[in-house]
Order: sequence, then structure tokens, then C-alpha cells
Amino acid sequence: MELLEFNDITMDYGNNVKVISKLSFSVKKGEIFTLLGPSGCGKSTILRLVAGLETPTSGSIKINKETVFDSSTNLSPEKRKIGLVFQDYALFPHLNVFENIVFGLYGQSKDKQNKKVKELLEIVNMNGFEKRYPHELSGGQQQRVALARALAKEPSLLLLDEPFSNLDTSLREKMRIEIHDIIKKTGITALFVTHDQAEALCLSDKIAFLENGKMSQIGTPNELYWKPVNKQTASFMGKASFIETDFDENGKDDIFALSFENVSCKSCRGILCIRPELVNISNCGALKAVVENYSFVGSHMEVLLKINKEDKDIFVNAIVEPFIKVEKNMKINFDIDTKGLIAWEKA
Amino acid sequence: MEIKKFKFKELFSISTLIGVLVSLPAVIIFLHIFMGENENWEHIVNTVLLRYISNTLILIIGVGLITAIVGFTSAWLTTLYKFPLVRVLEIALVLPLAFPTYIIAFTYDGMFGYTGSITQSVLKFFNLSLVEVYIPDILTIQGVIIVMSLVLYPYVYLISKASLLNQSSNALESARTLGSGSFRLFFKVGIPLAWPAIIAGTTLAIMEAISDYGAVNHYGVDTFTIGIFRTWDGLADQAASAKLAAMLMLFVLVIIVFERLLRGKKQYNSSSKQSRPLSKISLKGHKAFFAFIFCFIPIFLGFLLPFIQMTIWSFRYFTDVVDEHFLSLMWNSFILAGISSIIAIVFSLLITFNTRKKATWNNKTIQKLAMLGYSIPGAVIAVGVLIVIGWLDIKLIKSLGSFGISTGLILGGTIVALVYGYVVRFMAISINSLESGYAKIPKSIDEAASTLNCNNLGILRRIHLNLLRPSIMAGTLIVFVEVLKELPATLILRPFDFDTLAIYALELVGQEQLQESAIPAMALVLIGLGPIILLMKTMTKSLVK
Repeated sequence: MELLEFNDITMDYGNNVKVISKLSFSVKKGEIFTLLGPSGCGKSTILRLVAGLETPTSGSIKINKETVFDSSTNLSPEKRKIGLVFQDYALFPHLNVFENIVFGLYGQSKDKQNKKVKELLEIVNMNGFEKRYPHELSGGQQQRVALARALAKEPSLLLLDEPFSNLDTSLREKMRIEIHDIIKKTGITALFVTHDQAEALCLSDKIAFLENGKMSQIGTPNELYWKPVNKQTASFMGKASFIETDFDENGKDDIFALSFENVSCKSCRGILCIRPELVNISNCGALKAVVENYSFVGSHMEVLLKINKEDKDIFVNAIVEPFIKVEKNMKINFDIDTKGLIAWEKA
Repeated sequence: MEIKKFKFKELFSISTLIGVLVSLPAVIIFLHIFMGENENWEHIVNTVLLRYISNTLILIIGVGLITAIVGFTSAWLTTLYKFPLVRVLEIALVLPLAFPTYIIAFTYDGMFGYTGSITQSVLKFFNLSLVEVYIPDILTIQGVIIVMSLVLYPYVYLISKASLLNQSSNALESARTLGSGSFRLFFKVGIPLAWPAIIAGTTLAIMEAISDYGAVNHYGVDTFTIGIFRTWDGLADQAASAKLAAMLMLFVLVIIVFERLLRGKKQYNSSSKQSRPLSKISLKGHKAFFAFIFCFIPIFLGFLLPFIQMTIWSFRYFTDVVDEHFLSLMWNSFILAGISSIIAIVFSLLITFNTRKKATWNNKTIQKLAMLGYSIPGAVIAVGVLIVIGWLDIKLIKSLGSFGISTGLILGGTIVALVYGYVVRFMAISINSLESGYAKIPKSIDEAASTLNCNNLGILRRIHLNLLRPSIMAGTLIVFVEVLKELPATLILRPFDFDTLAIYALELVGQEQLQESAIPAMALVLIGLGPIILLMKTMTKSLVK
């Protein structure tokens, strides 16, 4: 069942510069759906449109089958059944943890409120913090309270706006897993905004990649990583080498003469995309290269290979186990795993 | 649906109404620039107008120069150098702000006038009489310039000190490492860096000076404010006084334009965000002594000396002055100030909330309109309020008349007019205070509340009122004190036989009871110390940081 339907939405700030134009997507019930893209691509705007904090110029939005926006309707944020977790958490500084969480349960009976807070603190693992004020909490704790507060009124849709960007790296990875588990435990549907592809890959059921207010691809994390629809998506999702070359009528490329499935380009000039983990350096490899450069990054070695083809240098990124000795200008042999290869016709 | 929209529109129209109401007196006066002239006006132009203009100009230049020099130099010394008691001096330099200009003027006449306490004791000490020695007359325009500057320099001091602390530690230190001597540093780096701040502070001081009625009246210096009052009171000519008020407003406009021009586009912001606190240079020997003296004199003359003198007089005449009448006018003053400050803060809250909700051009303009009054002298506003109230009265009487009810003036000459005038004059203070409070609340807080079943009213009540509490308190307190001190608007707008502390001080002085006037004056100064202490507290906090 579609929990969020975002239909044909156009939005401008009254100056005819369209932030998004005729955008549609939908989110299934129970899904974690991520809007991923570089800053300024309009992902936060979409989130705010769903929340009712911004108003579209045209289109319609439905949450749980209820129209919250169309040409004749515009429900205010408090009437849409959503919960929103902000980048800066936006906890109310004058209220303690308990009061923050019950804020949205205004008017309900004390018993109900107490029960709900107890239940939520259990879920976000913050028991015993009821009386603390936001400034007495660490970043990770504040975020858990913000999440509990957003979940308190049992929204049908949870919105998360770059919730990890204010945390330091180590905490960020821990919170990612924690938040993922909490969301799945409660079974709520979530719309999540981030510019961090690693975050998107590990949290999402589905990712929509956005560029300049347009969705270039919607798919599972796996699909976005291994079957990106264009070079921009591919490079945003992770490291890759892009090599421009000709493809023959069978889709075999001119440089490595590899044949593989994911080629949309036959008898034409195209771009071959090779993720570094597809390059296997081994003595029995059929392809030859010279090490142009390398750098040690801890868990592995990143190596830049130079391949000379008809007096032209072609460069390919590869990763190598940390204990293999690599030197500059060293001659090596390698293979390319064709399972993950992809190529597109050159635009 | 549309419930939220409807409410928002309501809010918008309330703010618009407040904006219009509060800016109306100023706008009406401004229109008088273009209005026709009557014979009184001709008479004014032919006889006194030139004097009003020249006196006001001299006052502006004199007060401007002295406050700029004293204010900036003391800010410079206390910010850059270490000398005995500098920590105390830099806080105490704001104390003179507690004195309204008219009270310092009365007190100085009481001390240094021909019959003044200090003049007389000095004469007695040397066994001389007035005819034997030359004693400078204090009741002159020079005198008024000096006494006003004594309590107005803190405007320049505060603003230029803030700007020196904020931005220039790196610039100043690098200038020092490049071998600039202290005088070159002052003229080549200090003044240019703090220039916008000096101009801003001096403008504030000048505005206060031209708004003054009590001091110039007592010292016999005819400025515009005097002219407005005299034309309204003596000639009972509202149109001519409105025209004079309009001219004074033009003056103010010119000053504001001048300020913008002088400030130029020079906005020196710190290039590096994290500027360390400036390391102070230690002064020794005679240099330390001169720095100390330079900073001590303004505090002594602008606060300590008059404060001590007033305390002595207050004790001497306490039983004579403090009677039932005195207590009742104290009550009057407090009620007036209380009502006005509460109305001002409530209006300001509505207006700033409206702008925060939607920062459209419309809403920002409404807010600016509502703040118009602060740069306009109280006498001008008073005349504007009279016109608006008079017009409203006529409408009211007419419409009530059509129901067969006949009444006299309904609003004119009542507290309503007075409160209206105060709100117009001082609403900018409460708006400013709330604005700076709002700036500290992230927008996401509002948005979070609105996703949590909270409508506009809820956000205001459950979030803003709590988080803004310090700003609300500060705004209300400052307006309260300003209302208590305000003299010209009170004189023009007060109901018949309705006295306040400020008016009583003026009346006592008018009856040659200078020393007795110290008691209402002292009450005003002590109340005025409230916001000053608040200011000093925040200063201490930020300086220690």
C-alpha cells in the first residue's frame, strides 16, 4: 500500500525559478525511503513540502490515503499525521525530556502521557532521563529524544532531515544502526533526507537520487550502487573509474574487450564504469598495467593503475589488500570482474 | 480546512492595524511639511524660527563633538590598555545614562549656578562675593551642551566599545606589531575601524539632545522642542506647532541621512570569525595616571558628583516634599509606565511574531513603521497624537450624537492619549528587544512545534513566551523606565492636573525649588538605574568572557 503519494508537485518561491517541477514519487507502507543528493538539489524542500512547512505551487500530496495538499486543500503541519526529526533536533530548551516528548500529546490524560513516554524511552533506550534538560544531554541522546518526540503522537509517516549531520563520525555510524532498528521495530514508514551516500546505503529500503530538483533514479541501495542510470549517480554513490571508449555490435568495449550484461550501448561510443572493487590484481590476470600512484588508507590500499592503449594513457582505480607490496611504476597483471560492470551510451 | 490560514490572516491584520496606529502620528506630522501656512506661522518665521534652527544646530554640533570624543576615547582606553581600576571604570562609564538630561541640568544649576551650592561654598571659602570675581554663567547654550554631553556620551562609549571588542583585535594587534605608536594606532586604526560605531552612537546622543525639553527650557536655550511647546501652549495653535514639529522631523531625517552617508558602506566585520580577546597593553607612571583621569572624570561629573549632591538635598528636604501628593503622583507615574510598557510589549510581540511567521516585505514594513517613533522627538509625537486623538474624538462624538448621546471630549485630555503617545514613542525599544530574543530561537523550534499538534497561538504561548522571557522582561523594563523619564510628550498630552514624577521635578524647578526637586529626580534616577544595572551585568559577563 502506498503510504505517501507525491504527485506532480511543482514548487517555486514566487519568482518563477522552479525549485522542483512536476515531481512524483510514492513510498510504501513500512518502507524507509531516502532522498539522496548533493546539497541544493531540493531534497530538504521535498521533505518540508510533505510536512506542510512549505506550500507547493501545484500538484497533490496524500498521506495514508488522506489528501493533505491539492488545489483546494492545504492541511497545516499539525494536522498531517507526520513526525519530523530536525537536523539540529530542535528540542525545546525550556522543557525537560519528559515534557519534550509529551509536547505533541497535549490535552491527553496524564496516565496516557506517562504510559506513552515510558514506552518511547524504552524504545530509544533513554530510561531514567525524564527529568534532564536538552543542554544536559549529549548529541546522540538529544537525537534519540527528538526521535521519541516525533514518534509520540503515533504519526503515520516519520520524516528525518539529515539527522546525523551534527554528530561526529564514530557516533554517526552507531546512531545509523540504532535509528534503523528503532524505525523497523516500530514499523513506521520513514522518509529520510541525506547527502551522505553511505548513510543512504545502509539505512534505506529504497533510495531516490535527486539532482537539480529531478529524480534521476529510484531503486534499492543495491540497484543504485551497481546499476546507476548515469555517470552522476554512479559517481555520487561511490568511487568509480569512468572510461570513454567505443563499443562494438555485441557491446564489447574497445579497450579491455570485456563482454558483460549491463551494457545499453552497442555499436556506439559510450562510458564504461568500473568500481575499484571489481579490479582484481593477480599474477594470472590477463590485463597489464603500471602502478601510477598509491595510497594507504588503513583497511586497504588505493591504487591508480595506468594502462597504455594505442599511445593513450587510461587510468583505473583499484583497491588492494594492505599487505601486498606495491611500488610506483611497478608492472602488474589484473582482471576485471564483469558481473558489476556497467556502461552507458555517451550523451 | 483553512483554519490556519484564517488565523494567520487575522494575525496579519492585527499587526497591520497596530503598525498603522503607531505610525499615524508621525506620518500626519510629516504631511504638515506640505500644508498651508497661517498668520501665526508667518509670525514664527519672521521672529523666532531662525533662533530655533541655529540653537538646535549648535546643540547638535556641540553635543555631537563632545560625546564622540569622550565616548570613543574612553572606550579606546579601557579596551586597549591596562591601568589602575580599569575593570571598574569600564563598567562604571555607563552609569551617567541613569540621568535624564533635564535632571542633570537642574542639578548642575543647583551646584554651579550663581546661587549654586558649590559656587556659594567656594565664594565663602575665599571670602569673596559674586560681584568681585568672574563666575561663568552656566545657564547658556554652552552650559547645556556640556551638561547634556556628560550623560549622553555613554551611547558612543557603549557602541564603539562593542565594535572594538568585536572585530578589531587582530587588526589592532597586527598594527602594534608593525610598530605603530599609540597615537598613530588611535588615529590610523582605531578611529577608522570604529567609525560606523562612533557615528551610530553620536547619532543616538544627538537625538536625545534635540528631544530634550527640560534642560533647554531651564537654561533658556530656545530649540525646536521649546518652540513646539510654546506654540502649542502659548499660542494654542495646533497647526503652527504641527508645522514646527514637521520641521524638527525634517531635521531628524537629515541627521539620519547624514548618519548613513558618514557611515558609508564601511561595515568592518572581523575577517576571522574566532577573534581572541585582545591582550591589553599595560600603562605605567604618568601615562597610567592620565588614562585613569580621562576615564574617571566623566564618571565623576556625569554620575558621582550629581548623585552625591542629590542625595544630600534629598535627605535635607525629604519630609518637606514626600507627602500624600508626592505618593499619589508616584502612583500615577507607575500606573502610566506600567500600562504603557505592557501595551508596548504585547503589540511588539504580535508584530514580531507576525514577521517571524512570514518575513515578507509587507510584514517587515509594518514592523519598521511601528518602530518609527523612536527617532522622533517626544514633542513631535505628542503633537501628532493630539491631532489623531482630536480627529477620533470628533468621529466618536458625531457617531454617539447620532444615537442621541451627547458627550464632551472622550479621548482627548485623558490617559488614553498619554499612553498612546508613549507606546508610539517607545515601541521600537520593545520590538528591538524581542527581535534580538527571537534571533536566538532557531526556526526549527517553531517548525518542530507545528508538526507536534501546535497551532500559531500554541507556539506563541507554549514556546515563545517561555523562551523569550528575558527579552520580554528587559523590553518591558526599559520602556517602563523611559516612560517615567519622558517629559515633553507628558507635558503636552497629560490630562489637566495630572502630575508625574518628571513633571513634578520640572514644576519644583520652575518654582525656584531646585534642591527640593532632587527628591522626584532622585526617584527617577534610582528607577533608571534598573536597566543600567542590567546592562552592566551583561557587560561584566561578556568582558570576563
